[in-house]
Amino acid sequence: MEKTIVLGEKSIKLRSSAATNILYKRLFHEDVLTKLTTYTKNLKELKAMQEKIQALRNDTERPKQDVLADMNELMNSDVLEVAMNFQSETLPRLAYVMYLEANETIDTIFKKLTEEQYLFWLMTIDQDDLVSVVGEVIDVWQSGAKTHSKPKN
Amino acid sequence: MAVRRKDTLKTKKLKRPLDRQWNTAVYFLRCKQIGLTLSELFCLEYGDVMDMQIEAANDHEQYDYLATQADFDNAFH
Repeated sequence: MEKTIVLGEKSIKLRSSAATNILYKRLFHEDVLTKLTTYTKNLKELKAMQEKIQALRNDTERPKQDVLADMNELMNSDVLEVAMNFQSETLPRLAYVMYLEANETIDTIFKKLTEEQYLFWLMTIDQDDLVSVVGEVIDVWQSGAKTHSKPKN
Repeated sequence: MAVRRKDTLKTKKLKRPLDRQWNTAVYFLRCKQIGLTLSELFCLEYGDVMDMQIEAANDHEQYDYLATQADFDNAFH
């Protein structure tokens, strides 16, 4: 799956393939598949949390102090921290691997698959812009991950 | 002498999930088992490879034969 996403005033081409997770592991020594699984669960938890916060906002019967205390407890939970970690660490790393796949050939990709090159690339983009298109970056991966075969058992 | 009838029926027992995480190491192992190289993986989508792995697992399953015209002829003539 190949897609061009707009980061601020800059547009970058991203491509995911069956080798994306292998390249990611080779460069960052982390497993992007487990990170994506955790993030998917985290999204559900975030949605549930948002609903709880909305319910607390609409709650006019309880004392304000109790409502604020509950809100604080929710905001300090691990759910937000996991999402922030994904957006600040995993997302730019995944985007870099996809950027390399879209813009380099098989022969040249391994030369750019270094920590220094990644840090250099990070300087060329605005990370805040990247966070705003988190859905599009994940979409590049997920669109290529669709299966059609069904296991018999 | 009595012949014991061979029972070909199977129980529809629900399979329990395995306590094994799907990660990149397992994924790459399965890719190598079906003979895919890294340069081939560059040209394929993740979903294509998963389809191949599903079908590779399906190869080990048993399938019923579909009846042909000859089977109907044998049964009714």
